[in-house]
Amino acid sequence: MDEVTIGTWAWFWLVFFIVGTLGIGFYAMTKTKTDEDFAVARKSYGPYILILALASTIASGSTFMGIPGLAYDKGFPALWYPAIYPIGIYIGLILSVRLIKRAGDNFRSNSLPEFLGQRFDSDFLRVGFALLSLLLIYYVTAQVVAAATAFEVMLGVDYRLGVIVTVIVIGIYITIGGSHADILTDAFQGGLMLLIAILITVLFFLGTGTEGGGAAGINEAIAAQDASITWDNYFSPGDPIFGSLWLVILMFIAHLPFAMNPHIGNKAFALKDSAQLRKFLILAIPIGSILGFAVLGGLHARAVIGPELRPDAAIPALFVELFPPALAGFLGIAILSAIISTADGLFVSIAVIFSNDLYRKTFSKKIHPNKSQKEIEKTALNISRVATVITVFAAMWLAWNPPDFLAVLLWIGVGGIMSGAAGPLVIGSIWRRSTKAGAISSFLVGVISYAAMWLVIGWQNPFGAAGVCVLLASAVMVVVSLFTKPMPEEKLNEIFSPVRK
Amino acid sequence: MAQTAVLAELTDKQIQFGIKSAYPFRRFLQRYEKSGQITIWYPWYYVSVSVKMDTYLKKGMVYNDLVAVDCLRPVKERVSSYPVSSAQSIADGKILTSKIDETGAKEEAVDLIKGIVLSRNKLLKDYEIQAQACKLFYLKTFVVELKNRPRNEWIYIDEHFEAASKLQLRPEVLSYIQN
Repeated sequence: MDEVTIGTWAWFWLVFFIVGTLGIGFYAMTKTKTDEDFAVARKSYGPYILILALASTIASGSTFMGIPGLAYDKGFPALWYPAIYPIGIYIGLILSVRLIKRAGDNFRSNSLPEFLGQRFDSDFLRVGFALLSLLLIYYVTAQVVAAATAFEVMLGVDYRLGVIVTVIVIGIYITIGGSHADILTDAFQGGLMLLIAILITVLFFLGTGTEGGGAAGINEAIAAQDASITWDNYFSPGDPIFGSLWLVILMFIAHLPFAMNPHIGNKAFALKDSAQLRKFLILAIPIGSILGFAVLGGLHARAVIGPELRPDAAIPALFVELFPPALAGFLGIAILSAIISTADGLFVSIAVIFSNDLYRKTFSKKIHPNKSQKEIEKTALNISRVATVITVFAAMWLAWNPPDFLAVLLWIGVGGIMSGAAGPLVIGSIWRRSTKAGAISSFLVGVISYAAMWLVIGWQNPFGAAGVCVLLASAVMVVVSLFTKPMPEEKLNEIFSPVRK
Repeated sequence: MAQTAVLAELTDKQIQFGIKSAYPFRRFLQRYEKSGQITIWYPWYYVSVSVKMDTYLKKGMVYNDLVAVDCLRPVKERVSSYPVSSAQSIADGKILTSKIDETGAKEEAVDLIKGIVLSRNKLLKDYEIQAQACKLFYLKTFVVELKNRPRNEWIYIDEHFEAASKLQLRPEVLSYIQN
């Protein structure tokens, strides 16, 4: 009898994963004891389940493929990334999330664009940030590309068939309704991802598959291929991303407003109270850091397999190389988990942009002036469904031809959003003196300069481009605010320390 | 009729935690010290809300929720139960006066639950959310006076909602103790 191949096992685990996830989802939907459990699942879960659900939203296809792909290609200097990004993201989160949550509660904001409009009394900022947030489609596309690449490497299927399968799986997944299903499937996937990130880290320090063993063994194997990317090299001279300390600092700056991406920042709105917020912030740091260790898998793959792979395929290929087919296929499922749970959150965020920020808050007053509040909310609900379907097909279209680097694709969208958000959202959250003129100028400068970096200058470092634009937009925010009329004290009190009249 | 919540007295540990939360960047030796404390009875409306909803997967769901609405700030929290109440005297401290009525509290509670139901149910078909009972509670909170610090830098501690902040961020309490 022929030996069972990795492809066969991967198909087996894929079916297991889909059936398992859908099974948990449908079980949760139909067997919940009370209607309250279905609607809001309030009292059912302890903090650990919720933390795992949070982990699955933080981790994406980039965590297990894009960033390890950079490390695979650029060697040890790429370790700056996992060292820097959790610190940058969580400093930004801590700086602004409290105010956004508090003011969001007060203003009854449903989304970050809505909050921004209320913070500065500006329809332009709300609509502008909502439209800019549509760049999240690149984030979704990156997830589809990641899943299709995993299918290609592990299942041996054509990349484009992988794109179609991914879109179908995501399509089914997002129809699972009910809070139990949401939390349980996210927690199931988050748990898998944390385990895999820990496993990748342990394997790296054991140096499994290398001659010398240990991290030193990995370093020696990489040195034999290319001495310029070993651990003696802190930077890769000439590299657009890891070429110098200056570029690494830009990477850090670029990540400060990362939490302002709508699908992450929105988590603050979902929290019950300030006590949960504290726990959320404290636990997000170690979880984010552990997931960041997945980058070590890229170095490990380079040492064990050599330089011939497509970089984004490093971790799937490493699994195939190191593990028996059954286990390798199972590990691939963790990647799929990361991708699907993130895509799920992104679809919801994009749907909210259309239904809430653009329709309910902006255009409904003009196009449906005679509709009741209830009718408008029903229309908004339908708009969000249509938006989800359109997003699925748009992501499929964009993913049809695979890009060179997944992380770069993802950052086309993320960098643009962060460049626009740095001034109004981050500085506007912590600095009372910020003005409407400052926020609008900063938003425009951030977005236009980021577009110029890509389209005119053609700088191939998305982190660097975002870092420069974030700095520029922040400077504009401060300077223009100082030279324009402060916002009324009454309005500022409404935001920073609101009191009923 | 208003009720008071039974809560323990403020401990030194809670005071230390409150000072650290409000002044996280002050080093150990420079940390402010308590010089006194004022008891504040802070009003919250507790509103029970009934939710009826249909989704494309399950119809005719009904449950009750509970929301606490801050009577002085535009803040509301989803809570799991009413405070344990008693006929405790509130003569030992300052009593803040509510700035909203029952109708306003009910509207805000419904609004909060509506947002949660809408955001957590992707296949929602129809829903109806209505406020039911509304009760006013006075929760015991504390202002911790700090040695040699102006009033707006004192600490406000609300143990019930696990909140601690400088008084300048709680102008409704600050203005009350200044009067």
